[in-house]
Amino acid sequence: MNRIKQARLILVRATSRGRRLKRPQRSIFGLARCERGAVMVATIFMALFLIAMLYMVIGLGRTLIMKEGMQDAADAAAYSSAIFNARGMNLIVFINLVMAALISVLIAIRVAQSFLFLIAGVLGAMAFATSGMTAPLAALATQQAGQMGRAYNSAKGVIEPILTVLHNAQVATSVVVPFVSMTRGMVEAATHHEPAEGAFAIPGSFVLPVESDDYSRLCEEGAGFIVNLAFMAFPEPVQTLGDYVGEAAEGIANTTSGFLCGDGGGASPTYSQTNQHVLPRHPDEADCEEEGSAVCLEMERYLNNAMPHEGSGECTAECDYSGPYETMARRARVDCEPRMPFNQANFVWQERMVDAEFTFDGVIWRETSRTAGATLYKDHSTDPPCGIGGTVNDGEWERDSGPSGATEPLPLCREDLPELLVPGQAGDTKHVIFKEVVRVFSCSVPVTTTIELASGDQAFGGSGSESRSPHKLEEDIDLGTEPFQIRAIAFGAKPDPGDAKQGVVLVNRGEGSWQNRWDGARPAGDEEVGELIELASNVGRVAVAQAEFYFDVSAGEDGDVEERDWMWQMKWTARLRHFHLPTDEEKEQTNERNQGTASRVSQFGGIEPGASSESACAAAGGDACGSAGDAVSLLDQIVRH
Amino acid sequence: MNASKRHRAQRGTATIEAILALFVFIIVWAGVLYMGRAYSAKLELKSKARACAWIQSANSCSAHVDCGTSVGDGNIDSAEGGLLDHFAVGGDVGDFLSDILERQVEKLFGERATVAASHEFSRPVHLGGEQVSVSASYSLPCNTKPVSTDTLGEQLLELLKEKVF
Repeated sequence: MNRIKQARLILVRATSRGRRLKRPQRSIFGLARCERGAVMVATIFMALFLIAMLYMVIGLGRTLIMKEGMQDAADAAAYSSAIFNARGMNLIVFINLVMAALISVLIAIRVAQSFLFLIAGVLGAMAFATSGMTAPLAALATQQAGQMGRAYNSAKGVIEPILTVLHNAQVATSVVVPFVSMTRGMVEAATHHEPAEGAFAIPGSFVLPVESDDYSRLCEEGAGFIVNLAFMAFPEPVQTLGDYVGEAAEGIANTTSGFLCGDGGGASPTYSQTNQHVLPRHPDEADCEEEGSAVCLEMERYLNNAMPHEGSGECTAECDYSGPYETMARRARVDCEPRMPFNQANFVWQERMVDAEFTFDGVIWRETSRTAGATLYKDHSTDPPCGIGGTVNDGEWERDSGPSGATEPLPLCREDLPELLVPGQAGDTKHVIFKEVVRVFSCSVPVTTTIELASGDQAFGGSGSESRSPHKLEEDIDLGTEPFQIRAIAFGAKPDPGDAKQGVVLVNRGEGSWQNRWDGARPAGDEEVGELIELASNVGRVAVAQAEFYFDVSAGEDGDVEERDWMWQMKWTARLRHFHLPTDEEKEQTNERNQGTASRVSQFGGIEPGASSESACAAAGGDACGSAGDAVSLLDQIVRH
Repeated sequence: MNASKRHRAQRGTATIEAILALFVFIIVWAGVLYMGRAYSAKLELKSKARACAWIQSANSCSAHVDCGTSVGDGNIDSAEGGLLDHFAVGGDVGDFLSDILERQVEKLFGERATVAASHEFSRPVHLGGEQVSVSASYSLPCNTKPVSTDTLGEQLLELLKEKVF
């Protein structure tokens, strides 16, 4: 009970003291001295602060995770873009190899033709020692060599346009790939790497660092290709030998590319067409430009009168020595005489059988009388009338038809007569029947006409052999420099701390009244977010990364690869690099290089490297180029300074 | 009832409330631990999948690359479809050329490494106790694979044998 009384007493005193405190004359000083509830007030504020701190930690945590994701996206964007560029380089290498494989067909034909000529020469030289036994083989080899020549021209007519197309495909690849790789980086970040919404993958160069190589290099690689392919069928030790042979062949092919590969030598792109031209030509043929003109009509009449009878091969009109029949026959003797490269064909001639009497004069057998048979008109698709494979086996071709007063010309050639090789007694006679060719009327030779597809400045992708040449790495360019670099900027939505946002705002508002602080804690727009979280958010929504494509010198089993072979081996690859901005010197070099490659880009209607962001936007056909151009300029400044 | 009796009647109440609160705290604590563990496992899997994908990609997505056993059932998916699926040229020569082009162009542009990793662990008994699976995946385009000229030649020879002979 005493305790209860004491408690009541305390309560009454407190109440009376409270009443006294309410008196105006004591309230200010009393309030200043009173400490009741002070801890409670501090606790409430501390609790609010701690809750806000907790929210901030959660928000920052989410921001950091997002930042990590954004960095992933930037890395992947730069890396995938660099990979695409490396693949573009490998594609150009692959096209180089395809071009070499195509040109190796020409080389193979040319080499085979050369061997046949060589064999023909050797057999021809041996004919003297073997009494003409090797002569038929020499003629056969020569004939085959001629066919090889025709095959070469036919193959060249097909391969050269393909080479031009492939060359242009390489140019297109070098221009298109960097632009596509930018898109590739954007797609990579947007589709595979949340929370990024995309990425700008900006290459250090808007064209791949390649340029046209010499045409002779293609010939060189083609020779190496065909040798390696030939040796591939053999076991390992022989293949090693093939490497040495291949190197030797490459060297020979490089110096003889004009012969082996038909080097255009700076002429505009051409197409070769081979036709059979009939010989002999009429002397006025060049003047016959318009069909039906007096010159052409006279020439037509002359040639008609020169035509032999199709049964006997005899003259049909104006048959004197200076008439068209005999005149054209005399010209044919000269024009159709077989000579290197032995490509005459479609011979037409006149032949007959002769029964002759020969008398030995003590030195040789001389023809003393003859009875000539009826003449016959003959033609043959390929073989000449005189020589191996022809009607008359004697290859001696008499160019001189004899004096003008003779009743008929000297025979062109006649059969070999072995019985006349045996000497007799002076005055001995022999009757021999043999065949002789009286006249040759015509033959045909392949004539290659070169047709220019376009003049040099109109030609797409350059002119002459340059338009069919392979591609090499640009001169004076080092790996690791700006043209090989890709920088990516990934961007995403602003990181949102979610429900923690209000607490973060409450803690981070650094200015304004308490009321404003409290207002800031209410749901509000982004403009009311504190500066710290604004900075954190913006840092979190952007990430940068850098990657490069390069030639892996040591990749594979071949060991280190020389720089001149970098565009002949598919070893271009990509890797990430530490982010750094180009130096002033690198920027200057890039600008100089961009000027040099601007024409290549503009050929394809692309954005010229030196162009401004606005013009680039306009070239892309954008309507809203103002803001987009500003954004691109900003990014350009961020990356390139 | 006087005060003394009331005081005696309220004895042990705080203890019971403390015990009840303790159970609630234990469940909440276990839940926090479980969530933390799951989230940590997910982050770890994500990290490992990412590391493995980078290794796979850097090695041109070669099948023999080992990412370690702790990644779970990681696997590589090549790109579905190809750039030349709709590219068809009739005739033997056309098929032959298509084969050559497809093989090379697919190698140049088509492949992609996707590493999926998963991990299973038990939920605490007082939260149900069943097995829970956490998974993460990461995808990157495959880096280019060095191809020697000899390899290309051998491929061409094989193709010739297959198609011509």
